Amino acid sequence: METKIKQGKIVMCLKEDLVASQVEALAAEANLVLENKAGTLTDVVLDAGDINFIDSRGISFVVALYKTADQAGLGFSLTGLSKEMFDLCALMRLDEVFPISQR
Amino acid sequence: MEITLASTYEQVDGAIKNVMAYAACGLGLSNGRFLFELDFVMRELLNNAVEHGNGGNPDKMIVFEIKTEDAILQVCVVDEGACFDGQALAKILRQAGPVRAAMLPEGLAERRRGLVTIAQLGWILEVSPGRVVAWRRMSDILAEK
Repeated sequence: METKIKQGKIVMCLKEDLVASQVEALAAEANLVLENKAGTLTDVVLDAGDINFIDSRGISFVVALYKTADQAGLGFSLTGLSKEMFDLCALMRLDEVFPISQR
Repeated sequence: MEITLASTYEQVDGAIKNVMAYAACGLGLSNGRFLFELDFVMRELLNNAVEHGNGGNPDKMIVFEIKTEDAILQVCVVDEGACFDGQALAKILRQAGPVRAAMLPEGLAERRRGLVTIAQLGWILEVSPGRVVAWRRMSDILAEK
């Protein structure tokens, strides 16, 4: 995962498909980044523009990250989804919880 | 096609890669949207077998099979655990009913989405101790093109 910060917005760019084998390491990395930047951020953007698949464990990671951001008073969005990933997230009604968008 | 794998997510990744190649070449499935859906279904069943069926014990094995028979595409996962009990499965599948509002309480749930989503995608789930089968009619799959 690569991270970029600009004007209080942190963009976390996923580089591996968001599947069960990746989730534990990604969660640790994301939480560490957020802890280190606590107090300096306004928004968290999770960018899926470079990946092509997400499974239910990946969805769990996204929801957990949203909750962490929300509890810290930060905005959250999921961007860069393929059509298939977008439709899956919409089926799970994530679009009613936070903004999601296609690439 | 049948694959036996150890109970790790890394083994699931490897199995899925091989099965997806087989689905495209061996079964002639070319609909990208359906292949995505198939990938999701297989991963969910295999991940459940790793986590719930075999309790994350890499010494326990999982047997996965995908086949077409009588115009039905079927995937079957067998693990060494007891799998779901009947009441738990019935509850999960009730959530997958036609009323989407049934999902509302799960909107912020971090877990327990997979089987509901599989059912919502139109797959039929059959569960018995240590064994889960998911299937769809090929005619429905082809109609989605």
